[in-house]
Amino acid sequence: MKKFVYIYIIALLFLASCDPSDNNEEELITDVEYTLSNSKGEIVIMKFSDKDGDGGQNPVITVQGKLSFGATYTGILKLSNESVVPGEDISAEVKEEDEDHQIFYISNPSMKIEYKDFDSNGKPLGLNTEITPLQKGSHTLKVILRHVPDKNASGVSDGKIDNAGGETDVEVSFVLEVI
Amino acid sequence: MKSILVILFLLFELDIIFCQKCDIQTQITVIDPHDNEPLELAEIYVEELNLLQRTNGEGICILDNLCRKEYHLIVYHAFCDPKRIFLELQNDTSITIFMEHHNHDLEEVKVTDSKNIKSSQTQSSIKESTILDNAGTTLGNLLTTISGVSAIKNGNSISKPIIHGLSGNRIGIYNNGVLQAGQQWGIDHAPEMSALSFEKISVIKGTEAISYGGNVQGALVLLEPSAIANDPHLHGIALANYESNGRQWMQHTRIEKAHSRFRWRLNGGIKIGGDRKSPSYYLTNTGNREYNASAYLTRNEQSRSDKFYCSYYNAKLGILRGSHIGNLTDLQHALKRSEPFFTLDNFNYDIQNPYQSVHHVLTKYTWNKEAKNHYLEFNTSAQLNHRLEYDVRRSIRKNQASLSLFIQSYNVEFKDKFSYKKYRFHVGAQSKYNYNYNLPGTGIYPLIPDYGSFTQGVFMQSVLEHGKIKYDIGLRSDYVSHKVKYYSRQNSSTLIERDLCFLNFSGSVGFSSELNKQNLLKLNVGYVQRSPEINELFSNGLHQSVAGLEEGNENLNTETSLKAILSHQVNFMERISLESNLYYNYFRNYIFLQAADEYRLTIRGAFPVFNYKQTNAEIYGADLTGRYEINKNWSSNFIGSFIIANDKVNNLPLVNVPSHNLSTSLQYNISKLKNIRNWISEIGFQYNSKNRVQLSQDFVEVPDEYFLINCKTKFDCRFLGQSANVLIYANNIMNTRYRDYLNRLRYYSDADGINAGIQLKFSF
Repeated sequence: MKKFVYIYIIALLFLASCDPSDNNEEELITDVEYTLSNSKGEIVIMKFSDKDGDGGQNPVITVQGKLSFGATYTGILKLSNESVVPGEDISAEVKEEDEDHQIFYISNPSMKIEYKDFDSNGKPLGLNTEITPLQKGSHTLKVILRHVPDKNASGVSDGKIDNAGGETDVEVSFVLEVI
Repeated sequence: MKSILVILFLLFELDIIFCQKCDIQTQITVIDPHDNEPLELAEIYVEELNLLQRTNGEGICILDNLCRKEYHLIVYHAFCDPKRIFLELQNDTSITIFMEHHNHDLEEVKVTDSKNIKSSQTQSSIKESTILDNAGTTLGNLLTTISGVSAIKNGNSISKPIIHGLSGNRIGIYNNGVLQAGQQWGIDHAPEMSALSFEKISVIKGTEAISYGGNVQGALVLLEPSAIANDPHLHGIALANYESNGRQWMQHTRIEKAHSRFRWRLNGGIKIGGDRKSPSYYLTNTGNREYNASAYLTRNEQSRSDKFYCSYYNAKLGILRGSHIGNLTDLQHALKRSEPFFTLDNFNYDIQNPYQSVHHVLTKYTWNKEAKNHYLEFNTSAQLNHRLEYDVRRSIRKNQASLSLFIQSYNVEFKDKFSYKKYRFHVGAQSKYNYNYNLPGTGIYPLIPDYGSFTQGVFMQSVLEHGKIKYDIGLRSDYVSHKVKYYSRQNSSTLIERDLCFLNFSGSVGFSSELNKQNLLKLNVGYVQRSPEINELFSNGLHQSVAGLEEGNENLNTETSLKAILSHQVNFMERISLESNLYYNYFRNYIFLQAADEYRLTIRGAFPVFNYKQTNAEIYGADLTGRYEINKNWSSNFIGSFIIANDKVNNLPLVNVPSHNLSTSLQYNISKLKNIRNWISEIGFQYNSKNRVQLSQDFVEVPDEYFLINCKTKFDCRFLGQSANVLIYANNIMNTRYRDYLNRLRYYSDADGINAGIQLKFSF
């Protein structure tokens, strides 16, 4: 019987010496950067950054610049994980699996928003866009990345999110001024 | 020389054959252990002779002219499970056979022997035949055949028991006497074991189960193998089952044999199912794969026995594709839909992400010794539990688990049962070490940190019988220490270490009294302290099953509870048996997850934050189990549970507590029809009331009450010279659309529709 007790104690010593596993969040998206530029070289940059992921410190949201009414902007969305060094470019992953992703842009009041990139089925992706403000004033722009949406559902290819389904990987809002 | 030997040998053999006198008389008495009354008209079948005889009014049957050899008998009686007996005859023999006649999931009352110190505990058992009849379902669902027990589910193949409103960390599930080590905190983490490996499953509802230990609030589920019969021939069962819903196949085989020095038993089973179906659509990705095997080896000597047990369980369980959501908006969208996202039009056996995969290994060695007035027991066990959860992820990470938790658990215990004067005692000491490790490579910050927990417990129980009254008292103390290590979320290179320790005390007093032959009364009052568990103290992150950010609270205090159970059993005229349990359970510092007012902004939108809080709570209710034998053919069963659970501080119902439920069945029994025996046909009605939880406590209004009809028929027959049992059943025969409050998939889909099953069982 003593033998069992010894085995038990030895097991304890062995086990107690383990250290926690690593803590790198690989898939995490920490940074969303949406850059709008027009033909005059005017640039608006919207940034959402939450380096420590869900919980912990609050995210930092910044908007640099204002949109001009009457101009059309080319939009480029960049997604990255900056919690690891070096940072990971998540937009490249999204592009690689373009059929399984779609980015939706919802503005209130509305703007003209067009998709400029498409997956192999000819359905929109949304890393590249073109937007044109339709009125002056303050706008709330919501950027949503859906994983595995149903792109064939009604309205989804036109950028309407209601029937898209799938899981939300990104949902951030920015307040934009149109002057 | 050789030939002479052969001839001698032949002569010797012939001598045996010719001299064998077949003049042995065997008297068999069949008794109902419930009231020690003889059972008339029990049938005794002698396999070797193909002979059938009945017992007379005294429960006696005499078999004449038997030879000096081995016989296998099967004893049948209406309403009883057939019993197999092995005899090795040398002389005239007289044997007594106990046939459990009344015990339809009612309590075991009279099973007392010197090794048993069953006090006033309120215990309900599930018979082996009920376990086998529910082969197609899960352990969690099987346990709901006991009043006061419900199952909390994540689809039909992931279910865990909830007893008197308590589940998860608060109840203990004992796999052959060893507290199952797993991630008990998750409501989507089902116990990692197959019910079919066990012959007896019991639920102890009170706090008096002091000798079992574990940081639990009293209610226990005990799964035990039965003793291996002393029969030198290979025996066993082979069972095959098919269910229409999920097109699930399952097979289970058990074989056992006794040798002169040891006995063994092997169990093995497979279950393979695909997408289940609600009344109007497939529940895409709800398939299951389960594999289990166990080996049990026992050795009995005069006063000593050794038992070695090991088991392996592996399951891959699909999770409804449409229930995987990214944020609250997704949940709101899902709630509005008439059928879940990603619902496919066709049936599939494939299991895609999201799914969970669990492995569980248990080994146990038991040593028993009977010495003068003492019955000693030493147990040592080791468990490995690996839980992997796969989410819907991008690129190559699809094949990478999002959660990979590995638990090692080691137990050593020493117990002694002894008597001193009029008192019987049970004392013991138990040590347990659990080590929980997040295996690297998930790429996700772990919800539960790495930790090691050491528990040292000592207990004492004592029973005194005074006339018709039995008094009992129990005391227990546990020292619990946790060593927790995790990396800071803010700075991933900062290692945080925490050491916590708790000292818990529990105690119970009770009495039981057989007022007369018809009435048995029991009362038990128990006080239990449960120290907070790791998930309550340290969880940190997004928890899919609460659709929110879960934050542990390091400052939680020990939760204490006081529970009283009054249990009354009564039998009228041999035909009506009724058992009622009334209980009241008060909690101080009841630990629960509360949604905070704040929403935390993340890159996926705003999430509700859930914090572990403490409150004072009460849970009270009544369980009823009844049986009425109307006449020789007709009988009726009834099970009901009424439960009220309140948060006394916030004046709200507690969440994740079952609603009131009632089920009743009508049985028609034909004890013999040509070659068919024990033909039982049954129609059952099941009602669940609407839960008391309010809209403010959930994302959506709780589901409505529902009513289901189930039916089944089963009989024993002889097929290819073996005893066979055929079972045909259908659950939810009206194909009723419903959602159950305790099923997390209620947010996304209807519960299962009609499910018909057929099962064949051979006993050999």
